[in-house]
Amino acid sequence: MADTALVVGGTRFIGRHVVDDLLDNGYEVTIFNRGNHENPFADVEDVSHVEGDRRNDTDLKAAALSVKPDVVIDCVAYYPEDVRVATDVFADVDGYVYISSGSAYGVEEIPKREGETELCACTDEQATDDAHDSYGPRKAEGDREVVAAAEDGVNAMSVRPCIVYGPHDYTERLDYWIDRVLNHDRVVVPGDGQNLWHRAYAEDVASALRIVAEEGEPGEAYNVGDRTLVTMEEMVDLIAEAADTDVEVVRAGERELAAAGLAADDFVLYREYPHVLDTNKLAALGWESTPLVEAMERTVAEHRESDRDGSEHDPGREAEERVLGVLDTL
Amino acid sequence: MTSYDTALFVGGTRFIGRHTVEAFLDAGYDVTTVTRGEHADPFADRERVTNRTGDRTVRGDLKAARDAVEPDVVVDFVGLHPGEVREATDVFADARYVFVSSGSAYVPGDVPMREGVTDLHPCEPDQEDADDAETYGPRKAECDRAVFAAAQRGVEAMAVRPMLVQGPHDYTERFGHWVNRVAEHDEVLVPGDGGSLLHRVYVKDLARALLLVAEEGEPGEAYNAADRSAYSLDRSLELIADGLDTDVTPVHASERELAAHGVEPGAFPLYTPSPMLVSTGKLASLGWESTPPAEYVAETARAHVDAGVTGPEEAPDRGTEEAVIAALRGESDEGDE
Repeated sequence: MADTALVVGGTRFIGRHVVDDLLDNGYEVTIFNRGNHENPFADVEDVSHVEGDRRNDTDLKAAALSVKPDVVIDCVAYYPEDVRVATDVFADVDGYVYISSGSAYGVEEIPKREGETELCACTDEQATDDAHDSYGPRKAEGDREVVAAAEDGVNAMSVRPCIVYGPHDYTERLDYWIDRVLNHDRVVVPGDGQNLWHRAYAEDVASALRIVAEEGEPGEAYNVGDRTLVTMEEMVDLIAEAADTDVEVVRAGERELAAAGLAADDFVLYREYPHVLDTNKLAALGWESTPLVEAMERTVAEHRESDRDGSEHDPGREAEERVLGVLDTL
Repeated sequence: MTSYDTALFVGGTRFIGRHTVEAFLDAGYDVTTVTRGEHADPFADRERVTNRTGDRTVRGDLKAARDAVEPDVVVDFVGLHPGEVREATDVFADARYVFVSSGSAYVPGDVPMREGVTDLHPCEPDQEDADDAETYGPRKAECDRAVFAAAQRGVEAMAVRPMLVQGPHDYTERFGHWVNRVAEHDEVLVPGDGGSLLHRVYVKDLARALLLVAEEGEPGEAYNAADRSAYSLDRSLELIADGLDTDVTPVHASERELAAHGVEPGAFPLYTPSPMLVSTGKLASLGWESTPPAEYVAETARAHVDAGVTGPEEAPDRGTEEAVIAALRGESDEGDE
């Protein structure tokens, strides 16, 4: 009999890839969510849908009882309480995996490493608010709930992704850069182009979640990110390669940007200090990541079919043109 | 505990070797260094350390040292040409042999660079005996392949690939440049946006890595040696300032802003145009740990100040830096209009 997987959340982005990956690996899959977004698996026979709110304990228990999952992938636990309840409701499963975040790390080290790099602290106030500032602390506290559950014998694990990209990415962060590369010959990259923000290809995050559910050690957290990172400039070049087009990257320093009223962090995916996750622990479980060009080719192909353009992140092409106007390509 | 107690160092009196002698002495070894005698022997008055004059390019010198010392362990600090490593792995075929390679052996590009995954430079036959900087990486890579080939023949030979080595007695003075600037000035000119990421390794940690690989390493394997925690160029300045109990304001200058004064980013010590980061998991799995950067940078900075280190000759001089900084101030004033 096939193993049964319950995906909490799971219709929009990461969860969607999780469902595909589980199906590819022979699982019977049930998705559990409020039904607020269109269900891309509505016509897929092997995927059942249970409607409910994960923040409603009764709903979650009902799902547990009706599905009797072997593994649970929790894509939408944004509060420590969510994790505490879920590890209780799913205390008997073979593997419960909580999607935490690289943001759970509380100090800037390169790379950030499970069990070594300090996590964010989380006050009681932060644990229940929904501010962007408390995202890292809440994710870290969720990780501590996983550790506590494991101490009580629950097969609970955490996975900490960095910036996830790939098909169906509704955050549109990478879409901004893809759109720029597809539609312009010259593109401004802030700073000296060396900026590093570790990214994780969505399909690889999905396989990581399954592998950790199957092979992970209870109470442990596993970083997930591309095995090889690229800088922001290399990312732009990679998009161009994947899209089979050319692009001239124009680097602009702080004063060169300021002349057009721009700052480096007006550009999405720019991060002042490098954010790099160590991925050896996950790799030791047998996980691998998709070659970068292949991952980007699939991302760009799906971008072309979508109506996403990343315009919500656009610092303004006019301002960018002003920067380009005075700067030569180096 | 291993039963090894006799070590022979080929090279080893100036910087890395000097610290490695200390690490081996601490671990109970008797150490013999083989050097040409061109630099003063810092261990002249020390017990359990012997210096022999010899040239590593002369096979007879290596054999004589081997026969006199009968080493359990050989650490080769000065293998710069593949032929030398082929010779050494032959002469020392009965010892545990550790070759000090370099992160430069990798074709740069992968972040991070991993043993057995990231490609090594190819090395053309006519590059093998060259001495220029361009062929350094290819030669070190070919030396590594000589180590692997020796292991295939049954020699217990390993390679260690250090990234940029830092610590007291660093005669390259590359880190010393930044120590000097932070010690002497409030504003320090930094190329790019300060995020330049060149993985470093503290020399005493490297020394312990060489000892560990000598004792525990797998023949035919290479091990990256770099701080478990890397940091940017800007962060280097902060760590130095903290260590010297002072403050620093980095002034970032883009390529164009530097070019206006005839300076290239690459002229600054420790600047890399793309991140140079290695995976350190393999060495760590042998039980190796590294010293927190804040701790060793403070020690290194104080040592460099005490030694009067000012930085490499070829680095930008302070006058030029000040001219760039002054120009940037002027330009930013105009930008505020």
